[in-house]
Amino acid sequence: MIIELQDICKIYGDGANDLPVLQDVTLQIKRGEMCAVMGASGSGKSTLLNILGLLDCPSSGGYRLEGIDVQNARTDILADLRNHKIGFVFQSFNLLPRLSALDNVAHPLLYRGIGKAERRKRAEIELARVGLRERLHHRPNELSGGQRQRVAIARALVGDPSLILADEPTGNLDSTSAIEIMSLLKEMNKTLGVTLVVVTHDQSIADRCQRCISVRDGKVA
Amino acid sequence: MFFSLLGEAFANLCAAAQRSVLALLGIVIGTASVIAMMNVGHNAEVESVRQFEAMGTNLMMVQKLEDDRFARLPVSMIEKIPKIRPEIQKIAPLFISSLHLGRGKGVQSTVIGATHSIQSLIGLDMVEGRFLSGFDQEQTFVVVGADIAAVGEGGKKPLHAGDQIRMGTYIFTIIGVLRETARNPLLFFDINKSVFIPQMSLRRVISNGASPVILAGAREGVAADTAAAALEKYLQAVLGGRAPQIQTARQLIETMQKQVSIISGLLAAVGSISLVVGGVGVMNVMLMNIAERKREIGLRMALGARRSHIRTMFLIEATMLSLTGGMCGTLVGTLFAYAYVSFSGWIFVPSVLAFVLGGVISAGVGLFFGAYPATIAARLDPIESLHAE
Repeated sequence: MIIELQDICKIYGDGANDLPVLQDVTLQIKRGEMCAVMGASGSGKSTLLNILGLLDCPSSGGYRLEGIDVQNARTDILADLRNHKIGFVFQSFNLLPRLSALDNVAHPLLYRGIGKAERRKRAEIELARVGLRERLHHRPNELSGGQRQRVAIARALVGDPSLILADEPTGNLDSTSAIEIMSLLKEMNKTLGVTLVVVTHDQSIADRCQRCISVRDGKVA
Repeated sequence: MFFSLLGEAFANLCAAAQRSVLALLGIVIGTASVIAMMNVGHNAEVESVRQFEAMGTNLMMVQKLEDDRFARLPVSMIEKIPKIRPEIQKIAPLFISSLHLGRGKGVQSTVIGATHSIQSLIGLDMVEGRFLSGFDQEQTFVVVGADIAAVGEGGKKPLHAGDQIRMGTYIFTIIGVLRETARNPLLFFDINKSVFIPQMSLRRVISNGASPVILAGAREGVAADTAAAALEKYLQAVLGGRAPQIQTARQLIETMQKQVSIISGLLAAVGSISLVVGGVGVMNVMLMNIAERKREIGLRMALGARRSHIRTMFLIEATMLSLTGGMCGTLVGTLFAYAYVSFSGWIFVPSVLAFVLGGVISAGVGLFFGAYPATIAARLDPIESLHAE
């Protein structure tokens, strides 16, 4: 198991008017799985993703990532775990506009203390993997939406993570690019064996995944 | 890791160049003031040593003697002082006034009624002829300074020993020309623009109003202050009334140092205020940068940046910003000090310590005022930041 959630609750608020967002979520995801997380907006699927990505802490319950209990880990440990084990793909790409595609991809390795030449070498391999060998030195604004998301996927893969969390990865793309990006993610899942969790409200994308987790009113169906 | 963050910080600063430059102004002024202060202080130090060498430490001047009281003290009595007060080695009474030399336009000069003792006391070298002697008495002889000799009577031709020169209604004969000398700060007149005539003949050209001055040299091994005190006591005993005013080279340098310390204090005040203002400017720029780059900070955290990485990145940015200002300020401050030093007629010697201090101070300001914004950035919530616009 790569992800084990046990009775996860997330409550926003200050006690007087608590707003429970996630209630008793118990969930397991196997290594190498490709999961879709479906749900209407406000259902708590984003909160679930943030908790999975160690960006948010649950109010109660237990979370083990690759067998590591992350519930009580310090922020530095969480940062290192994000850096080593998790790759993020965002709806709005979140590339740094000043950096070239190469340096954007190399960015996560900065926080491992890897030298610039080595970082770029690894980034180049990842960019080649996503089919952007010819676009190494382009800046994000010189790339199409689909290409930007490919750069983001390369960035998510560069640290050799075991889990990729994609939040509406095709939300800002036209249908052709969306299909390409989903195919790429699926391919990475197959060839690299990386676990993939995709948050979406698009049924056609969910259909392409092995497993679909629906979230409704803070509960996993 | 540190160098990678350094490179990032530099690129980030360039991206916000315009804003950064404005924030630098305070740092530039602040550092410039500190550097100027250090350099002026340093040069004042160098200058005081140089002036001590020029004046000799043993020279002193009795000034602002009241005419009627001084009249009770004949020149012959003054010249006997070294025999009575052993602290004094040499003494020279002078009467100083100003006079137009030559016909027509002529040339303005300081005319000094002197005795021969002045020559060895302040070390006057001759280019031509001889200096005044004890036998000249009431002769219409004159010894001219280097500049007077060079310009000549009304700027026509240089003067030489043996030439005649008109002084008031008298024609004087030039018996000697002085070598050019460095300006002695203790003397209020420039020897190069002066003429020396026997004291008895002064009455021929200046009817009244010549200021009496006594120059004296302390005996070797006697501190100038001790000798000055002895001379003062003696003169007060002879003349009665208030103690005469005696200025020594040391006092003069102390006065100069006091002036420099006022300038230094002023610059230090301006400097520290500007550095605070500049520091607040840096803080402001950093806070604006952070507010603008919230999303980037959130992304960096998601990609695995520790809070310390974020803090270090912004600290480096603040420090580099401040250091850039510091370098400009060091340049401006050195130029200011150079101008001040040149204006004061000193020789400029740049202070190495000032350069080091300029860097240390500006980097320190960056670190100090960057600490708060950097901490704010490091404490941002990654999810909120990621969704910031």
